[in-house]
Amino acid sequence: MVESSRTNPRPRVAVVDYGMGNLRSVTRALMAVGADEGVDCG
Amino acid sequence: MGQTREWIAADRPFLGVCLGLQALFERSEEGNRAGLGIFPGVITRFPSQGQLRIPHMGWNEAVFKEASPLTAGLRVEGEPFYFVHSYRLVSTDPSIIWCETDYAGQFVSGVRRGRVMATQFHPEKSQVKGLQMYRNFLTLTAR
Repeated sequence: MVESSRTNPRPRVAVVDYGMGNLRSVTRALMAVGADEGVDCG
Repeated sequence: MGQTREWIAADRPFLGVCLGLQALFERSEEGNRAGLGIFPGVITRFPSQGQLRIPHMGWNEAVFKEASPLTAGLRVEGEPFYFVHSYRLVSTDPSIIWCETDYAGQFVSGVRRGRVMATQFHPEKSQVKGLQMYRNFLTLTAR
């Protein structure tokens, strides 16, 4: 899930935890390609 | 699940990975709970046959139906990605199929419609090409 704004070109991403995956690797990958450092996990 | 359904209904960008793809469909043989039902189709287990190893784990090729901004930097005719799964989508609305993979026959390894997209493989475990896919997603959705 992604949201962005004109003032913050780095998209803010919410990583949804459905209890089966490795969120850290997803979060790291998204941040590596430009997602906001405030990637949310929940 | 309800929030995710509302998010998608509002045409906000969504990228599902692995079970995140399977949950978009009506149901799965893996459990009794209904899926989100965003797309038509049922998730079924790979058949037990011969030497076929289940789960399907490791690198395999995803072949994309067509070139698009989502495949920028990727070879449409086939790019290796990392898979770990025992259930897969075989049949669905052909218009949503983004890419397919061969393992005991063809299965749907990626779907997309509008700003909703999902992959059975793990881009975050697929090195440079996986990162390229995430980059394409962020580029598209940031517009």
